[in-house]
Amino acid sequence: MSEDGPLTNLPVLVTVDLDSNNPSADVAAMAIGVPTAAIDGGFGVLMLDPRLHRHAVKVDAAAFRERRCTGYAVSGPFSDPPVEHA
Amino acid sequence: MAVVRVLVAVPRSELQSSWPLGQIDQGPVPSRVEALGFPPWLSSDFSYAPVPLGRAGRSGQDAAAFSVRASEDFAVRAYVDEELLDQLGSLFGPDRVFSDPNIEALPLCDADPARGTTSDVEDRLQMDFLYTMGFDGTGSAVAIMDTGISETSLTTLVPGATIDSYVHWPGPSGNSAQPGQHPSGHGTMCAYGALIAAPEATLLDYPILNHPDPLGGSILGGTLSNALSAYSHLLGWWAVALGASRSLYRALVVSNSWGVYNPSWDFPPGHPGRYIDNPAHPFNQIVSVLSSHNADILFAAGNCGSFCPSQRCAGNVTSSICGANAHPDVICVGGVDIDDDWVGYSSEGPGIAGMDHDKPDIAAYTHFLGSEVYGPGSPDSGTSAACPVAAGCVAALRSRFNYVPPGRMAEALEQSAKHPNGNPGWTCDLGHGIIDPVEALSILETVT
Repeated sequence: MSEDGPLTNLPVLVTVDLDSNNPSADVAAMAIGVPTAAIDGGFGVLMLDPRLHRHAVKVDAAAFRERRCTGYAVSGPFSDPPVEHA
Repeated sequence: MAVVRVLVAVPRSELQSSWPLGQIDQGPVPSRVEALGFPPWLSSDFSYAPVPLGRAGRSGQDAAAFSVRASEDFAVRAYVDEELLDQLGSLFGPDRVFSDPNIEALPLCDADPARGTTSDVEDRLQMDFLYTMGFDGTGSAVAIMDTGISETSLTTLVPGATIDSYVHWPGPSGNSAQPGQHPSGHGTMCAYGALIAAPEATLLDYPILNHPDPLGGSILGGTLSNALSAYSHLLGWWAVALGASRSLYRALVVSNSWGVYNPSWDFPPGHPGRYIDNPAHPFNQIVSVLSSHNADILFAAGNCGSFCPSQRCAGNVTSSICGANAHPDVICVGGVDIDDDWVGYSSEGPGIAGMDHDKPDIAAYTHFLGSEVYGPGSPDSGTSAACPVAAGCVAALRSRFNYVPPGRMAEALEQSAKHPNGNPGWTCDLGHGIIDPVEALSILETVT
């Protein structure tokens, strides 16, 4: 892993608190402040905490660095390290 | 006054008067302390046959010097008050009195053969009693977060084993095989381990480890985002969307025999997005949320024990219990063999700074002859095997105690766990001790 954190062209994990559960990628992208194309559609918009309407997505790292400011609580980028069996 | 055991090099001439050599040849010799010329404060142990030493303290002696007939000195075992050790040295010579400390078997390592069998594990866990009392896993779902389960192999090993085919996590690419339709291997071993204590539990198959990191790494690995995706799927099924078959279960137990082996795999220290020591990481968050919805979550401690760590640890044996394995809401499981000895590869605590200190929480059995998924005679090994054994115990207890919050279940397991030496408290190798589901049952019966 780079000393500067995530490598430039890799998707990064990001969390965002939305207005409801089961959002579309469009809604998540708007709340984060990136184009919908920057969201990893295969990964989807994962529910993290239904009480907070908190979700996790994978976002293109470059797009995330250049995101627009929105009124939503956005956190990240978070690491996505490899894991192995014990 | 503490009495210590010593070995004293006694000259042949002092032995012969009371211990004829012919008798020495034949082993233990009954005699009297006084006959050896020992002072009354030195108690000789006549159950220990004197051992020829050649000439005590001389190096480079020929092997023949150590024969009974040729030896000039013999080791005699005795007991003396610790405060009189100096006098003992004066009596026999300071170079003729030696310590005789306790010794123990070396811990098991990965390449060692299996110790005991599934039947021994069942005996240690008192499964006959639990099963008779109805603690068999009925009503419990056990999610196996691993490489996927081979239903064909599993049902050969455990006839009647059940996998819920309605709970299908599609995987990161959306094309994961159906539950139970995976090659036999690590996931099947874990499934087998869970069913030892909870044969009536139903398994949920989450193959998070057969989607390797596209950037490289083990083919039997994955990425944390795979696990995040699987947990989100499980959360939706269990707590939110109440998916198909959900109503069949009163309890959910999640068994995780995986982790991050090397901190270099993560963001650098201090980065706010780092995983291994950061409760705010999305995966650590979802673990908290799933636990708050009454799921019991167990993690293997890892195989970075200081005696014989896995090569994957790259020498990292301190703070090796990290990430969700050291999460305060999970039960972290170390490994012991069926003789209650710590296995030398089981990661030792404390947990990494930033997460929970007292990890592992408990220890469970591993390195026994069980599923043999890696070939005839191969042990079910690693803390990988210990974790589902403990998860099965939880699933069994949940057959009746489904109303107990996960935190209280963890406390009961910790309070009932036992150290082989009988001492209470937490230690870095076994946590609060070795799992004892029958004792945990008696504690849980007091919870209303």
